[in-house]
Amino acid sequence: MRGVTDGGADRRPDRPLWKVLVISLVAAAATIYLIASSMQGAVLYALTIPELVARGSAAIGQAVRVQGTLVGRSVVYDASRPLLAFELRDGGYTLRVEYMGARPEMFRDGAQVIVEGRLRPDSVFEAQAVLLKCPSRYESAGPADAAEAQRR
Amino acid sequence: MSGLALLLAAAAVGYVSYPLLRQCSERKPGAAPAEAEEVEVGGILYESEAEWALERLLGRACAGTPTATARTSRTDLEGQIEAWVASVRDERRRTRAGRRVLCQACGKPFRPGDHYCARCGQPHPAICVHCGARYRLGDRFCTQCGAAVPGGRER
Amino acid sequence: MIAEAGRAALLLALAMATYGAAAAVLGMRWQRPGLLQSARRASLATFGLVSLAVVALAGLLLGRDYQVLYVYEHVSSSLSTLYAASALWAGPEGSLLVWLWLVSFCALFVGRSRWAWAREVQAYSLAAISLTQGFSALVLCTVSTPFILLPARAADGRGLNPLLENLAMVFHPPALLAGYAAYAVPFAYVVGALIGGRFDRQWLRSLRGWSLVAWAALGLGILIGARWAYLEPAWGGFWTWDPVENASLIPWLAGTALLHVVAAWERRGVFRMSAAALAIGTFLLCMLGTLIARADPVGGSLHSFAPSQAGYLVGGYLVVAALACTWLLLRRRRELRGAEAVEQALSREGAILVGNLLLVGLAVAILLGTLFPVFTQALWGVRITLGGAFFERVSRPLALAGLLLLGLAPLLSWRRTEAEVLRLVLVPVGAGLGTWLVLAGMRRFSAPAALAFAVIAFAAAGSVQELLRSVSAWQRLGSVAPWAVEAGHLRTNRRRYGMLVAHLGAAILAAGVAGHGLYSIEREVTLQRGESVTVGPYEVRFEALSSEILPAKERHVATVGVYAGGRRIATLRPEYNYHHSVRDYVAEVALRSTLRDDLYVAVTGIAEGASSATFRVRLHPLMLWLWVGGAAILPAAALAVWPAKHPSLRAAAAGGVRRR
Repeated sequence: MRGVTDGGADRRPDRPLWKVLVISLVAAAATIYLIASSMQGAVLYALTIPELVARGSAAIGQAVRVQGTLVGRSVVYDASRPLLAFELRDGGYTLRVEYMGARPEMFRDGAQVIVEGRLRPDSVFEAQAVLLKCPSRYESAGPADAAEAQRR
Repeated sequence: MSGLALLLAAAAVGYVSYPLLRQCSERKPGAAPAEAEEVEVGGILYESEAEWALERLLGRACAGTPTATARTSRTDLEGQIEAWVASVRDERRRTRAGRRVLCQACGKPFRPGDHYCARCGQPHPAICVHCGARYRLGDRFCTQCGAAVPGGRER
Repeated sequence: MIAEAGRAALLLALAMATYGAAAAVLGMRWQRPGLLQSARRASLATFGLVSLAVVALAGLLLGRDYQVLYVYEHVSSSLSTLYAASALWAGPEGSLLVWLWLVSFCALFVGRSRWAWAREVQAYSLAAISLTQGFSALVLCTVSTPFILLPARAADGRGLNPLLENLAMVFHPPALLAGYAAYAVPFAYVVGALIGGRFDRQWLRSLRGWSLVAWAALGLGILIGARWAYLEPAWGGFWTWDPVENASLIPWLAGTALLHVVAAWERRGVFRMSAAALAIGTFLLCMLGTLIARADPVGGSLHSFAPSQAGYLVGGYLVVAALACTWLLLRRRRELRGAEAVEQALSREGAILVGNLLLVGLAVAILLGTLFPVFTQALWGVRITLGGAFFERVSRPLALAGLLLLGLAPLLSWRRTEAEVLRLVLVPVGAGLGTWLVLAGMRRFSAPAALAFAVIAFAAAGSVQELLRSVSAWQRLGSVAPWAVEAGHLRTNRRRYGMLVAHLGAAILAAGVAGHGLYSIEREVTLQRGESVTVGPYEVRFEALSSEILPAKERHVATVGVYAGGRRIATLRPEYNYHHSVRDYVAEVALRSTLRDDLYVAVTGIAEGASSATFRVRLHPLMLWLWVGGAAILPAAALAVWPAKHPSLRAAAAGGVRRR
């Protein structure tokens, strides 16, 4: 259906407009550059505690992310600074961690904790971020747990 | 509780296989919906002529032609809309006419239900009388509107 | 017994869905109307059977039947009815069941007999969605079944983590699941149309409608999740760039791109291939999202369910579907390539093209960042993750560029923009420049912050200007052609206002994000009774502490007075509760929200003898704007999807154009 006011050039280009191509290429290139440049300084090696220990002195100063189980009785929290010190264990090894920030919730014995930061020369891990795994979604109960629940 | 499971299975299978046993058609239910009020002007689809008119007032419609600005007089715009309404009305009348099926030999339109042309006796071409879509070879019902193919084997 | 019934129902649903898919395809190939009708009935039967399974699981949860493993894991006797019912989606098996139910519900609409649709497209769409249902039912029946029984009935369940006992957590998973499920419909429609080889106008309308519904549902789900993250874990943020969070954001970004290309297709017939690819891609990304949520291939995610074999099944489905759909797209590329193309860069199509490049670029960047550890592990054997800083750095420039386009696009015309119209851009540019000049002069605002707010002002001003112009043009139209405005302003212009509301909401949300990200203040102090701390313009004084022993928890409520300029303006009651179920304290945040800022107070410790308490007090400027702007998704989508009432041409032709 044509309206009476339809007029003007009814040009339908056979090949896509070069301006559109150029803009698309520029946008794509800019995005790729953005991704690449954002990666610098944000790269973290994801290691377990045994792996971190195995690296020895090579691991000092490297930005890493480590996961471990919290040793409840090791938690010391000084709210005035604030400074949170605790220990994580995994695979028989223990890692001392210090975090200049607030104590997260559900920070109790047995919690799965992820820390991001660097290992100091004195073998204490200086954490920039401390995260906890969402507890109820993490455990997958088996019949063994249920049997234990029954005995209680 | 396998009894309950069997009952469920029987009910589901029965419900689902009922159409296989009965004669059923693919004809669409109910009446045809109202024609859409969409209009296409200058290669752009508008939801209605009201939307087109509004876009025109906003200075965006009908690219390539002088667009209405604040300076366009009221009678100018009204006249344009009136003329356009008339042209669209004509266009619709013509399209509605084109929906009827014409005999390929003599050009006489087929009446609904005709299997052969009333004037020259040519057999009906493979076009669905209800919606104008082409049948494919071997079709028993039209893939566009579901009407049964006359003369096709009904199941 | 109920568990038996549920399991049987799921098994039958699997059979029905598979049969339905086969019947739809064969009914079309063999031209048997009976088979097609049977396929539609199979879709209905699947819905009924899955509903039965859902009712069974809900009954088990509410009845606290601890012999069922799923009930034992997620419910306890002390849990209220609401949270016991919401345990339906607390675990991976239950949430998969709810997802299947939602997809089955959507499938009912796909199977409906439609007037204007080609039979082929409808049949193949039904087959596509039935296959998806069948696959989910397969996972539910084999590796991820909710109806496993324990050897003997347990005394009590493990119950819900108190962090999840929040109203937002009741609504967040279902909203998200509804969004994921609803994207199965555009997927099915596009697959059906690709197989049938035809792309009709009515089909396109349905595609647009469902894309909007799914987009709104998913967006709201993400927003509710962010609200929970803001309230419950007492850290003051709302987004952690966790893999599971990203897994929901990526399909939403793709879905936003889908909305725009479908609109462009409807108006101008362009971007057909992109629309088809995006419809398929968005759904596959949703499936990838569920894969990341339950299988946690990236490792170290905060949210994930424990790894399960369901992950491999879903991964397999993704690969097969991606290959099959790519082949379909290539096969139909000739039909998809229309006669139309983008004619001028400065047009609405051009803006949509660039905007979609940004959206898809952001989605790809987030996807790469999320899956980075998987790639590095596969290539080099070592897991390297990208921290939150990567995502922040990538998203900020792209979001700002997107906001610029957002403000510009409503001004542009389809196909070609007249130079005259461009003078309209002066007002939003003026607003942006003005904002930038004002803010750059103030010490508080750094150059990037001033730029961000200037761009936001530009976007908001562009949308508001277009709103006002539309209203005034409508008045003019009413005086010139009264028959055109008979149906009413809002009724005729729903799509337009939907778009403008959505764009304005996005600008407001961006302002909230900027305020929170750039200017939040935090103080963590230990206060004696009567002591206070100053945060921004507010003084927060610790006044009293009360305790209450309840069966499930020990409740400690601190009363805190808020003063501004010496005058008391509010009383807040943050809580610090000891939950026996987890043997730990959980803080409940107290919030004072105004349009200017949010005052956020949480207790993080109580000293022995309750003489003093440690508080975390935060100030978040413009936080409310984030929720308000995000919530605009709902009215915007509702407006755009609601079929509009247009004046009938026949009536106008019959009555003639009335003169003034």
